[in-house]
Amino acid sequence: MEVITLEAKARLSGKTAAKAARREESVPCVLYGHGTEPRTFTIPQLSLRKLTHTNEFHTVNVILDGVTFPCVLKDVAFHPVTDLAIHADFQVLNAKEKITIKVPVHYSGNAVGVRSGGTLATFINKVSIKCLPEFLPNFLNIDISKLKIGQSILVRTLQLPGIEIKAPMNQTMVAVVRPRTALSIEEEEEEVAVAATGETTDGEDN
Amino acid sequence: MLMPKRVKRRRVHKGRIKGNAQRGTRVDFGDFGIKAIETGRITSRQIEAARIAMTRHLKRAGQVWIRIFPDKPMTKKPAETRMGKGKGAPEFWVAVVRPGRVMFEVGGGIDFALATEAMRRAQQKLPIKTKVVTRPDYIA
Repeated sequence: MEVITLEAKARLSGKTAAKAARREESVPCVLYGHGTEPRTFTIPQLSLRKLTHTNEFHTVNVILDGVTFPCVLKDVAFHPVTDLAIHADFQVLNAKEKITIKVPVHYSGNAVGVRSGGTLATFINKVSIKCLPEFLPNFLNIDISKLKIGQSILVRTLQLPGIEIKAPMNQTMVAVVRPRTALSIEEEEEEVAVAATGETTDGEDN
Repeated sequence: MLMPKRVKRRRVHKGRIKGNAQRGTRVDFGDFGIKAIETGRITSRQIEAARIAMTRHLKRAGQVWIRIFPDKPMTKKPAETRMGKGKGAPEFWVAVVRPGRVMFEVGGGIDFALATEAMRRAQQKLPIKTKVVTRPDYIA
């Protein structure tokens, strides 16, 4: 697994320091973990994008005051309008303790059902897993090449050594569904046209 | 068109729209979305027009999600009516939208170019400024 190194700058806790960091295009962060005192720091906005704008999971080495903390990015808060990160949480990894984290799912292969006219419906892009840090994967790869129209892959089909799945077992991950037929599209458009003119079948009967 | 099946109050106050959206600010279902960057009221007709613009451009490909619901009734007095005599009759329904709200999502394995053109057509049907957003972990 690729480990990303982040140079962090210590900051005071509290919203005044956090706002000051945001003004300098940095992201206020907190680092915590079992047996570790919580520490607040800032990292540059752009360096966090390597962790947030990717479809792979990475562990992070946060270098703070000359000390290196092996961590994972636990949570990020984004601004609702600008979509910039406004806060990030890092959890310190302990080699002997299991960690619960969401990892991306990659669907590989070209499904048989899609080749024969079906539509691929992806329901989840991330799965919550629990494992020791040494087993943390970059992503979970799922082969969908054998999926036919009407077939799906559920969370319970995931079998990963050393990794416990924390998502609902009956949840559908990916499915190949029947395409909407031309007939159904025409019917839908007729309904829309009727609704737009304000006419209803009930109204006509009366 | 979208409207509630039943409501507790037939008429509600006008209200004021303040602040940014606190929920529904991320692309959760599809790969791309239309995000509001100003406040406004989106009528059920506008939502429907935007949906039709997108689905017609996408043809049978992909999927569209509507993330807002018009649950606020707006009243209107009849033409040439003197003031007073109570509040007018409910005429249409609106969704109150704050900046940051993802109003529509598009996904289902379609490429960025097709999705952005579909969303551009939908944006033209909306009365507020919007922008196209992509799921951060989306890789083409």
